[in-house]
Amino acid sequence: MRFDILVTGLTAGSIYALVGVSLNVIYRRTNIFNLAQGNLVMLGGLVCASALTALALPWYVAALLSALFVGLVAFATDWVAVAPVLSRRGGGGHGWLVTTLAVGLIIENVVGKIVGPDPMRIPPPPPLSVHPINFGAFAISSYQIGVIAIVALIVVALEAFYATRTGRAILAVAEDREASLLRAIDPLHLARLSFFVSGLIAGLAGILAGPMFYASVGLDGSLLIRGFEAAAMGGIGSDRAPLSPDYCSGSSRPIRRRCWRPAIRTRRRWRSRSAFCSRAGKA
Amino acid sequence: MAAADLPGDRIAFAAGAVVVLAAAALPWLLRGEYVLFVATQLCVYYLAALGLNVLMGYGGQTSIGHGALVAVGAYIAALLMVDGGFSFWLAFPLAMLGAAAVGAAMALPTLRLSAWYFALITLGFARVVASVLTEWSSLTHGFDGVVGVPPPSIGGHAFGDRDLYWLALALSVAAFLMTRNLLASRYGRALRALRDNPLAGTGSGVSLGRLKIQAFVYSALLAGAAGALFAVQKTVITPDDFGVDFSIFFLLVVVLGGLGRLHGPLLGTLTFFLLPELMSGLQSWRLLVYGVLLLIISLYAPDGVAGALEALRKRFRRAPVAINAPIRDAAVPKPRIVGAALIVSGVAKRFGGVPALDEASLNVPAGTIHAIVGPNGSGKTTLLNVVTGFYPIDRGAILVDGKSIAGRDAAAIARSGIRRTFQTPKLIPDLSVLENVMLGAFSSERASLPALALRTPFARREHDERAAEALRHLRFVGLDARAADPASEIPHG
Repeated sequence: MRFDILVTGLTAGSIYALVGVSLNVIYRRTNIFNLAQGNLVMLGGLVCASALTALALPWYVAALLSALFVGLVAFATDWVAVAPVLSRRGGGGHGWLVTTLAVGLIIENVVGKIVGPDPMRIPPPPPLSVHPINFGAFAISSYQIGVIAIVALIVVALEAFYATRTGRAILAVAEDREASLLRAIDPLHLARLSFFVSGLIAGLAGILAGPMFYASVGLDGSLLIRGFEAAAMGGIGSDRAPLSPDYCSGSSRPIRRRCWRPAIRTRRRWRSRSAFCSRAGKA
Repeated sequence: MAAADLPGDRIAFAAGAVVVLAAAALPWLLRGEYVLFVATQLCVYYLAALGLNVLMGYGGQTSIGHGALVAVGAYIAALLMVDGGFSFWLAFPLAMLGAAAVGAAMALPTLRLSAWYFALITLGFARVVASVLTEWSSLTHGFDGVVGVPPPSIGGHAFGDRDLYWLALALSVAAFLMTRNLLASRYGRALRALRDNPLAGTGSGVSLGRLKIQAFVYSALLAGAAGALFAVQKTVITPDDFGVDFSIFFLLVVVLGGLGRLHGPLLGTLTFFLLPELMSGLQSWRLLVYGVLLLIISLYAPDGVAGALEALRKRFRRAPVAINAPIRDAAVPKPRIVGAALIVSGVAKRFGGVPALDEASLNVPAGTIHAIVGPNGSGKTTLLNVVTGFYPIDRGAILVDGKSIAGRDAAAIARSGIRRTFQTPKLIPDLSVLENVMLGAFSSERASLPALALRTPFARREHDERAAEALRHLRFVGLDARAADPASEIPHG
């Protein structure tokens, strides 16, 4: 078993896990699942790529601004599409499924119009690079190490956050909204905060994925499903959980790729790469 | 409703007849191939939207994969006719059955999963179907699609545009009538219970899992029919026709028309088809417009066009209509209740660290009334919940007439005749007071699904009997004057 597969798996898995984590952040607070999450990830990547090329900003500034932007978009999603539905009598039923789906459609198509269908490259942040360094049995690039490390850090930080007062308040609201209201916890404010944070993380996932996968409008659907896979396999609601199953799922793809007959292998690899670089939805 | 002698029903019937006749006369009223094409397409989409409305609007199961079911129907019909040489009349039912099988498969995850997991699975499913259509090219012709689907023919006469339109219209009308009949039957009540108050359903003996699958299969049957017609109308189908936006389109149509409204699909499809006139230059913005529309409607008009019309109608409505069903009071002899013996022995139930029941025992002889008295938190309701199967027990035995019922599913226990009421009323706001009461008769009604769909005399008689009985009970508690009111408008509703 060549370790390259593990490396690719770990990095890809980290990105999916990040998407899963961002989904969880919203879920923990509101018990809903943002169907526009994949679009938010895609947005992060594309805004960062645009900022880097069009505005020629330094990498970290562009990344920060992009993540903030996506956070704001997520915040707006809650404000416009989710909170009004949830505050309806009876909890709004499953109206949020349709509204978040609608928001996803809007984001995808507006961005598609502005950016166009061609995938955009994001260079890795200095001083990291995507050039693989050989460590004997396997090769890993400094960027990949960076990604794996960052995601692990984010998950740890998030877990720590939930141990703080605000974090516990969020869990309290999800558990029992009325009881929390009686304790002067404002559920709306916390929902907005959760959406903002979720957007930050999702945007970050898109940015991190950029140097490896290309930023493109075609990303969103598969990312949403893979992020969900991550969250679901680990157990929705837990942040740490997406990591390990997702390292597995992230590895399983390259493993499957290697173990098939060469003809199929080539076709699959081409197809999955083209899935990432594919055109915007054929509107 | 009981015996359709309301003036409102007569008007509705007359209006419906006029609409159908006008639609049938369309080829003579408005000339032009384009008009016929659009009209046929309207019928096709209407069929699919009808099915989705039953599933999503009435059953509360959000599916973002409905387009995939239409695709399955279209491909099965097309492949059978082109590659297999089947006639349309054979390919059509097979397409419906194929789509139904796929729909049932798609429904299986719903049994254990909550709604949004499920919505995501349907989304994934739509993508899988789209991929299969492209990848399995040895079967589906891949990107080239299926070309040259022949029109249906009877005795050598191939259907022209007009014949096809009439076929589509006839199928739409038939589907509408069947759906309406089913929604007015116990299945319609059970579906709404599934959507609004699952406990009410379980308490009445509705097996929610089975109902979900049934709703799915029904919506898939209609989708398959729509797909087959789609294939025949377009004569060329390719995987491109059935992307994820196709499923989203149906979602939009159903939401736009009004979820859970009988005429929602019709209004939605009609409204949607008027849009292209306004949208002719905006083809490439189509998805964006879908998204914006979906958002606006979900936020500001959650009941869609049908809901808005209904709200308007209510403003101008006179006093609520009373039901004039004949109440056969003394005529029906009340059967003597034999009952069954209930023995609860040594039952224990903990919730986490809290023992709600500890060595609870009860012996209730058949045909007697037994009262359980206790202070708050003493476990009375828990005991009730445990006996009726809503909570599993940790230890002990529950025997009815000597047979153990512990561990059995709550709906099954309800069906076997053991019923309970709830501390807070579990009402279905959308149904009338009478229909809420009739929900309780779910497991004792005998009419089968096909009988209900076709509204056979037996089904009608059974419905009237149940309605009369329900009305009797309402009269007993003094609510018969409010029988036709939606449950949301009475206290506690």
